Amino acid sequence: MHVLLVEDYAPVREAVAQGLREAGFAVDVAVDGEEGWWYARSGEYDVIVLDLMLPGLDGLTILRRLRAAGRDTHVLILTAKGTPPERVRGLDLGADDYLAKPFAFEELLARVRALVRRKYDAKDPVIAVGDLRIDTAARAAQRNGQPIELTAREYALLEFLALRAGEVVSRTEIWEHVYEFHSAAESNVVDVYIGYLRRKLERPDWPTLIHTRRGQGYMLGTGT
Amino acid sequence: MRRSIQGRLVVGTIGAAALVLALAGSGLYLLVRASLRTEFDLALTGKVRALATFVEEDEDRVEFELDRSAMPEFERRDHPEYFELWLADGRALQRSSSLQENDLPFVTGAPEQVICRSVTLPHDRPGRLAALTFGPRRGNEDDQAPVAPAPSRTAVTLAVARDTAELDQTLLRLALLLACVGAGAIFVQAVVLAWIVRRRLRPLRGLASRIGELNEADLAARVVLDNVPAELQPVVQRLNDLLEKLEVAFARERSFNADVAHELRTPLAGLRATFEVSLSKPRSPDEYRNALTRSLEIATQMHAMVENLLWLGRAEAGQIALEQRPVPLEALLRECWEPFAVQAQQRGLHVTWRSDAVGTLETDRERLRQALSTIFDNAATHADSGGTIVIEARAAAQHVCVIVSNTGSQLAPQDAPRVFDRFWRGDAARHATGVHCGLGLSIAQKTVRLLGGAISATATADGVFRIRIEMPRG
Repeated sequence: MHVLLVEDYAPVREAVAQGLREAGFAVDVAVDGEEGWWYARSGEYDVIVLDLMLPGLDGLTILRRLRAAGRDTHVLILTAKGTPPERVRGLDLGADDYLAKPFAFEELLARVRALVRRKYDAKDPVIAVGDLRIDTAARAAQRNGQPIELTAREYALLEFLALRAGEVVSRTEIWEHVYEFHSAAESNVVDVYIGYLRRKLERPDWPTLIHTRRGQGYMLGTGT
Repeated sequence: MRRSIQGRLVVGTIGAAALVLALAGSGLYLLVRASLRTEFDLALTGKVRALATFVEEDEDRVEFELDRSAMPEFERRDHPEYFELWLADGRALQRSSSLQENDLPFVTGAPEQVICRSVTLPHDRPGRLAALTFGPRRGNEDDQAPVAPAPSRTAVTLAVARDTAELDQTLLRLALLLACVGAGAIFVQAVVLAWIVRRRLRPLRGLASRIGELNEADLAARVVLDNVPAELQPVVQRLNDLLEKLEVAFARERSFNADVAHELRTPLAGLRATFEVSLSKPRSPDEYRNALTRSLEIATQMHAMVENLLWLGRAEAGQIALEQRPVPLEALLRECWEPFAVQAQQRGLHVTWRSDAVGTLETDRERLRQALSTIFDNAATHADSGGTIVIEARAAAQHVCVIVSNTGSQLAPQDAPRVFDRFWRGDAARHATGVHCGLGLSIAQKTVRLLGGAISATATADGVFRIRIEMPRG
């Protein structure tokens, strides 16, 4: 899942970005308001974690502009301004969640995951596709009751496909949601990772889960 | 003992009224007494003159023929009147029977003049006496009008006396009456006055209860008194002014506390996130070292901020000791600028020095150095890349001026003075949290003021930000 983190205070920015990446998110970071607005406007993010007091352009302005531009990206405001009126103001301007500093990192992570689920209309943190079960909280997958060892990138790819199970997902979409903006990946990296996933998920005696739609992309599902 | 306005007002007023009443009463008493005495004396005088007509000189004898039945007052037992007739040598010729064997005091004066005086009558009763020395009428001259009585060969003195018991009693009654009326008047006045004062002081109690309702939780409240008496208006006004000042100060304090909380929350969030992410899984020593280094930086920033806040607090409480000594200003300016020269060069800033021969100042070198460094830092950071910084030192008779200006300011002219507010970040537009916590210029301002100088900031519409320091020479 692709997260944009807009935070001017380096220690928070670096720690949160590292934590989110280690939790399997693709994270773009912006160090000030202008940069944050540029990323938010041009990228396809599942969640934007937004500080309010930013140099250049404050967080609420970014939020207002984003909503005015018709973007419905989920926004979590992460700020030291935590009084009820400030929270109300942020939420009323179109934020989806609000977390006051200092915060517990686990809580931030859980809230980001919740926003991701909300984006894909999934209430249950466990996604089931046929005999495949993905626990998005534990970031673990199993098939037929057997755990499947996945790297962070593989898990992210699987989760994205699972959240859109039954739909054909293009390579570009996969790219946008699984890779960071500045990643220097090869153009065929999506196909390569699909290959890795297939190797770990599929068995000759199990029904096929990952289907290739030539010219369109991939689909995770039990059908054909 | 607590002094009450009500008590003092009543006592004071009653005291004054009692004094006035006592004076008026005494005056009235003395006036009445004088007039009663005069009347009394006039009656005695009339009587002595009347009796004198009964004294005749016949041949060589002086005769006093008195129709006793016509003058019963000389006979009666109760409060009788007295008369006595003497020859010029003081020999008593005749006396009223009421005198029995006693004498009246022998008083002589000029002929035909009645002399009145107080005397002690038999049985030690006080009385008044009227004495007349005259030449008696000659016998058988009854029908002659005594227009100008011929000088007599024999002068006699006739005195009439009467006790003043009745008069004294009348005066005593008068005195008692006056005293009673006076006391009654004062009592009534005291009661009425106490009631009025109490009633009129009711707004004061109202004011007290309104003030009692005020508390620090709601400083927006004002004392509103309907129909406040004119005397209380200024009190209420001042009180409301004070409340307003308190409200502003409290609001400032609250927003300051909120700012402090905000400024502490951000680095705390950094620390916490760093720790939590580091602990989320086993890591290499290098990763731990990096996390610790970052945490230490945050702790150092927080420490600096807390120290700055404490310094400001001490400065506001007047607890900063200064060490005054001669400081060559221009050398100090150059020394302060040095650390920023590299940064300025990297950013392509043009730095211009304009300096008079400013000489030396008598001041605390270290404090002034800190303030100047902050101002230079501010200029070097806020000037636009390739912009200009001008550092001027100007000498005047009593003071010297240091003016530091930079181009590229994004401050609105009206916001310029706010750069000295604690935590104010009009420059949030350019500054990342944690790098400048917004206390530097507050501290610089406080320092310059502690050193007896003045500091001001201006910004022009075309982006020139200017800080001007005026320091006394010593």
